[in-house]
Amino acid sequence: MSNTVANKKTEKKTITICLAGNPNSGKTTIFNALTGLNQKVGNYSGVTVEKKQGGFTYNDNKINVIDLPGTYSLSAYSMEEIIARDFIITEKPDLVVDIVDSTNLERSLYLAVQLKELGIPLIIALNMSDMAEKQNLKFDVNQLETLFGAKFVKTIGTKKSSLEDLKKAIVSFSNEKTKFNNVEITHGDYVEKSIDMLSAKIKDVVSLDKLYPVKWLALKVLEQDEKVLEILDDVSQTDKQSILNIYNQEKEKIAKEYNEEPETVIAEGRYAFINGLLKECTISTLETRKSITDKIDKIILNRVLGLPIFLLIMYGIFYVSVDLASPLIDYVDGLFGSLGEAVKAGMGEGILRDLITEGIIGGVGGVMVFVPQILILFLCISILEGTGYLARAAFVIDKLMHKVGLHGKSFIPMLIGFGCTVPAIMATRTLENENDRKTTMLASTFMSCGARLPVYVLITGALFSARVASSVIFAIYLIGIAVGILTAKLLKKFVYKSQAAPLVMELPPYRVPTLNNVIRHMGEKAWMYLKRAGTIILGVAIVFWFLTSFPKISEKQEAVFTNKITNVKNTYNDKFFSIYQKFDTSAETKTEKTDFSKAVEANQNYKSTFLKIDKVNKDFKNAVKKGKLSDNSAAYKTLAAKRDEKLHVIKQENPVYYNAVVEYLKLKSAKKETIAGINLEKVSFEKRNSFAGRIGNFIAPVFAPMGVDDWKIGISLIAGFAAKEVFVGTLGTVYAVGEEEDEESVSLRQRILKDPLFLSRKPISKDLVAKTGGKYHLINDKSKKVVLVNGKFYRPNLLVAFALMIFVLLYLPCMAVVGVYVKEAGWKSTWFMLAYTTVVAWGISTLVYQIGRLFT
Amino acid sequence: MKLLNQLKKGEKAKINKVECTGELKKRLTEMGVIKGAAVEVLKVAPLGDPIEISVKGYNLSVRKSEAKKILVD
Repeated sequence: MSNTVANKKTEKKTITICLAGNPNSGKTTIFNALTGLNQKVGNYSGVTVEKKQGGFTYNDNKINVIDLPGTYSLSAYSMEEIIARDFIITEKPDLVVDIVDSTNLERSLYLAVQLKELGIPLIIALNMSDMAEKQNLKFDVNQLETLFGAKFVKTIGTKKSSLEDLKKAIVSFSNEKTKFNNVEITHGDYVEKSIDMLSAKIKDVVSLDKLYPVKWLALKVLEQDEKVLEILDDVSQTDKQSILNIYNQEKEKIAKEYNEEPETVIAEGRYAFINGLLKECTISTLETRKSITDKIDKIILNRVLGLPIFLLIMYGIFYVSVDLASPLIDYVDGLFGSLGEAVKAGMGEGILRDLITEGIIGGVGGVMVFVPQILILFLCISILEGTGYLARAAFVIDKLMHKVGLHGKSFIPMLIGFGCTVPAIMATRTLENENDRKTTMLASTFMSCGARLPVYVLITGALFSARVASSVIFAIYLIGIAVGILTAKLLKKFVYKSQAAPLVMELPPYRVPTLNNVIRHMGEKAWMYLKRAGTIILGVAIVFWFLTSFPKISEKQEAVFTNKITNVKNTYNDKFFSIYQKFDTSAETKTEKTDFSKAVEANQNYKSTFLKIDKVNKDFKNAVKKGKLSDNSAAYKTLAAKRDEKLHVIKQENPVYYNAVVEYLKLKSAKKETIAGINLEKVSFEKRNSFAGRIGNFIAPVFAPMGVDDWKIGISLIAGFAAKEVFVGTLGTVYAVGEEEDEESVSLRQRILKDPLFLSRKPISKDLVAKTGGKYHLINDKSKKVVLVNGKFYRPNLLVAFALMIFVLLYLPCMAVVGVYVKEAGWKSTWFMLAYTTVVAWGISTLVYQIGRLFT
Repeated sequence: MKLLNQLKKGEKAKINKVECTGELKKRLTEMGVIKGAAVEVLKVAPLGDPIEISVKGYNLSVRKSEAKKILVD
């Protein structure tokens, strides 16, 4: 004893431990409590499984903690299990701490038995020991240690003070190690004999016993563990064959005795061992477990109430993570917008300024806008997970989701997909099965996200009658859902056909989630997104900025536009001068054409008339703005009449000056409009000239089979890859109505309506057309639009518009989604997704257009 | 002998054999659904599938198609 104390004082150790345990065992809480803020989150190399590391010091000893993925077993069926197992085998931690739920020892210890089989030093933390005691479950810890061959420590994860015992056990474990080493778990006589036979052979194969414990390898061969069989491929063919021969012999023997596969016999043996152990070591049991959970479930999983409660909770999640997040998103968006403006103002014009403001700040902003949504979504998810409802939600909706080839847990990602695909892809992490996860990811890209809506609103608003516009948009959403479902079914049928992922899911007892865990979970997700996906998104954004901004137009072209503007200015100057001459007859001799503004300014009569008219006009405008009056409202008309009256009075006072001012104002606004038109023409030209524009131009013919062979659409579709709503702004630019145009814009809608692309192939008879309020429509249906182009009447080509909207719905998700997709599913799946969405979008749009053409 | 999916809500039984292979078998085994274990059907989901059973002192949900593979006495 004195020896141990002396050791403690002198030795300062660095100990590496792994935390293992079932999901819902409270492992995360213990990890957080042990390591505090000293944590790092990453991924295991090459896979999307989260790897959390941390550390703490205890009595001057440094302890590194690695949080292994939560698993029920260490078989080779899931990524998490393989990772946990490989990590223990290859990294050889000093010891493994298995966190078990004391209220559920029988199943929890199954993992512990498998850890013991690996032959590593093991501490078993009897977590939630307070709850076990409440349920009258008491264990003889000494007896457990003797029979199981591991250190047992009682813990309460939510109480930091209770972790002292665990820390102490970790640090002093090396002194006790030998005590547990000689206890081995036996699997029954038959299996033990088979293991001995296999071990003897495996020992001979030198390369094997170096890295892996021999007995464990023998056990795994007997279990026909896929990964271990792969290891056997590395040894010589004869060695492998002789090992397999022994396996086949032993399999026969076991089958004769038990009428079962060795794998099952071994598993049953483990449970038999646990059963015996618990019989020896449980002091008293009383079946009161989960009574509260049962009571809650009676309501929440009720046959009648279950579904409404589920829908209500899902609606709640959608509402907070989409609707409530949107002002935050706008705020972040605005913040980066004004940052860009500020930098723009502070820097000299040039490529560097554009790179910083549009490329980098724009790109970082494009990454950051998703953060509020991710935070809120994962707040919801970790509350659902922490309380235990997440598994119940899957339980309630699994039938429906399973029918379409998905899992009950796929529901939340699909739902979130209607808000934004980025957090939807991230939410697929709640799915344990890799195939389910990937299927859900791909299907969720077809759920029409919020950014696609402006595109539908613009196109339906421009071309469809107001009566059907909302139904058309709804149909688009339904098509998205249908394609998503079909995709999931196809994947299940052709790609993941061999493995139908089972549900078999624990419904854990309800618990109150700890604030600490919820906040950490939220923060971790946002951080992971920024660190991993964010860098990819930023990179793509900068490349994209380059493609849309270069090459600049030639100096010659630049000069063409400058000359045009100069000409306009000169022409109008002449016109202004002739007005001036009208009221100042001495003008021609007195003042030069170029310098008459001062003379005009000095003319008191002109000036006072100008100010009077200006005031009347401004008052009118302000009144309209204040009352938010529409052009055809009665109040507007009254105001307009009053304005005209006042103007008439001014005219009577001094007709010469009045006419001069009115003429001048008219010309001035015409001049402004003409110059703005030239500038827009220039921007449109620049867009078309850029690399992105050229690509758009180049690929436009590809869209011919779906009726949309047009460079403007081509460019907008390419720009839509930055973010789907950018489609609208780009369309505004290339139609030369201005970049600030949104989906409600009247002028953009007019331009689209009159674009030959969206006109019916043949004009319609004049007899069918009527006119109301300056707008043409069908004589028998006022809501159906008619366009007058070059003296002929046309109907909008709704089929082309519909095919285009379907394409926008289904084609490539935006670059932010691609960034997240790469990180969650890997490059291979991402390339597949990009190809698949493009082909599907093109195929379905073409199909719709070609079939539709047969009927129009 | 019956199949697990044929048990009514509240009915208790003992597992006799799990007749499936691959991932499902592995998953059921590691979750404690093995020969000799006592099970009770606790609930049926609102849409009629899956079902919730109690095994080894905790609650587990399985699809009916999966329960069909489990023979009980």
